[in-house]
Amino acid sequence: MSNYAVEAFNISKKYKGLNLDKKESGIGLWIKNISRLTSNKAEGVLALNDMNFNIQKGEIFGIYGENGAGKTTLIKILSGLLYTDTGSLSINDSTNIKEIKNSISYVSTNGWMGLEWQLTTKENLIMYGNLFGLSGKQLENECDAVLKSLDMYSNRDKYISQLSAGMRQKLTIARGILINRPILYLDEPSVSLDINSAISLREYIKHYSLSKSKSIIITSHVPDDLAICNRLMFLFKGRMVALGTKDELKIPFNNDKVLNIKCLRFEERHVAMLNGISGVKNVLNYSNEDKKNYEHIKIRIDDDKQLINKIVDLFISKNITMLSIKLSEISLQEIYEYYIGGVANGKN
Amino acid sequence: MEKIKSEWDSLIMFSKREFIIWSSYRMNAWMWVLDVFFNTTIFFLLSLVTKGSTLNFYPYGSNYVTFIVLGLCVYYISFTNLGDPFGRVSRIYWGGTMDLYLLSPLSYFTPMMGVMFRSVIDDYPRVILSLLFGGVFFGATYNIMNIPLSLILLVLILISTFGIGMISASSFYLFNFKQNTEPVRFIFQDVIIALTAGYYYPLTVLPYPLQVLGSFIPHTYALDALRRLLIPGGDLYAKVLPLQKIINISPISLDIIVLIVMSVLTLPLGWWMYVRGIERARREGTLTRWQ
Repeated sequence: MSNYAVEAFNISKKYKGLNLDKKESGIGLWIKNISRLTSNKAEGVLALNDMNFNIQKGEIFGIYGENGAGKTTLIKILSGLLYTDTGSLSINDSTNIKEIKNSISYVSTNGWMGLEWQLTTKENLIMYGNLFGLSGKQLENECDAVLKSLDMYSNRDKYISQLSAGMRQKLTIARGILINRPILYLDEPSVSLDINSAISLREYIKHYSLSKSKSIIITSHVPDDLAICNRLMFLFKGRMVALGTKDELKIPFNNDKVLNIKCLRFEERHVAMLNGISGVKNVLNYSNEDKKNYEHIKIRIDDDKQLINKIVDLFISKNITMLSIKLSEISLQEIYEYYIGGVANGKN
Repeated sequence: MEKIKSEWDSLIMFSKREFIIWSSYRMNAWMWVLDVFFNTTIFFLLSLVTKGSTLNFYPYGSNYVTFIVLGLCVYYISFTNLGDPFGRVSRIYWGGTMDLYLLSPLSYFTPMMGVMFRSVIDDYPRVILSLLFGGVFFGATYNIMNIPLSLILLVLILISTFGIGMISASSFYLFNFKQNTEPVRFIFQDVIIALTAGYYYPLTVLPYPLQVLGSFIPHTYALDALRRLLIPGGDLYAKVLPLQKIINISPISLDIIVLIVMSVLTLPLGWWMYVRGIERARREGTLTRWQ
């Protein structure tokens, strides 16, 4: 028995390109599809490229990346839903697909979430439990307990169509928790939740992992979702560009801070002046928000309060009107941009 | 044993779910009964047209209402078992539930059978209702003595059409036919069966090439045997189908043998293709619409 919930060795995934023409249908499409069966001419899309990593048992692990980075592909491979093209995978000390299925619970919040719209919240949970071999009074009690823990109990007799998008999302999470597997995958868990629900969900997940020693793997493009993670993986175009704790990932930034300034009459030539001030690392972002008639500048600086005065002095001397100024920690998105090499481009 | 019990329990769960959903549309249930009633009525009215005419149903007796009611029974079974699997796989795909089913410990087959149950609830009772309405309201008569053998024939047509249905369903993933139709169902249901199944007329009235074409579908043999057995006055020995004229055994025996052969061929083939389709989707990342 190893200490790892997940061990991935050199896994890669390439999707076969589907160049379907919308106008294609009928016999033409049939012939084309059948010819594809025996052909390897379709262009491939590399979804994951040679990934090596492991996740410890009991760890909350985050996978962060923009849309199309390969997060869902990765989590589907880790759950056994998708096969890799190369490499190998061990989940909970097993490479057997049946045993992997018994170790994991996969919560997807994409699309319709596989909910049965004509059934109630509780009936959906019971049906899901039945699929996984749970039944009887014990299942009913566990359904009630999970609904209570997610503050959904009052909605237990409502039909899916009567639930808000956020409630439906919570229900899919309840399903994942109900079957009580050692590893829980959460794919974009807060995408439809309001701020308060997202916060309470994060607290619940953290408590759930700690109290029941569950390994939890969260994929998201929302930094806040990953605030509870012990370690993070950055994914970019199917490649793992960084892996570590948030502190480890911040090492290249030392103790740098970010100064956010909203101002008027800031011009491109002022960027070079800012970069000339000792202690200013670089201008992370400079956007001219035309509609609002102001500019938004993000400057990465040393952790030195005096430096702010120098920057303010420069703005005053150049007759740039400051509307607001705020000092903050380096954000996850900024760290991510650094690793993917987009920092200098001021990419959001 | 535990595995079989788990699969069985899941099938029960699916059947309960489908029944809850089906019965939640109360109006639907009434429409459903009326639909069967009016279908039977239409063919009763058609039988009035044929009354006294020289139309020949040999060797299937002379009661056109019974002839049609039996045609409707096979039609309902075929409509479900052959026509529905593709649509059900499509529903699983578009609804995003294939992921859930494949994450469960169930075999690939069980969810497929489970989601089929809605059609089973919807269509199988129509078989009984049409026999009932035909007999009670429109003068259909049946050879009660032959009902046990007829039930075996119904089981065989049920299996063989489901086998073709599974071949049809497999093309959703295997050949990536994610549109509204696919070639197997189209060729069988909309072409060969529509032309040559003989739901409403005996195969013998068709031109010979179409009779030969009809020899490749199980409906031909099921209807031949059912009509000979259940319609009063049916001839059990006259050879009318192309294959019956070639192979020298009794028509009913031949019908049963062909149905068994078709069942044994189509169901494993359909199952095998369906599994290959799912495996293909797992490699290509096309299990569900939502990726």
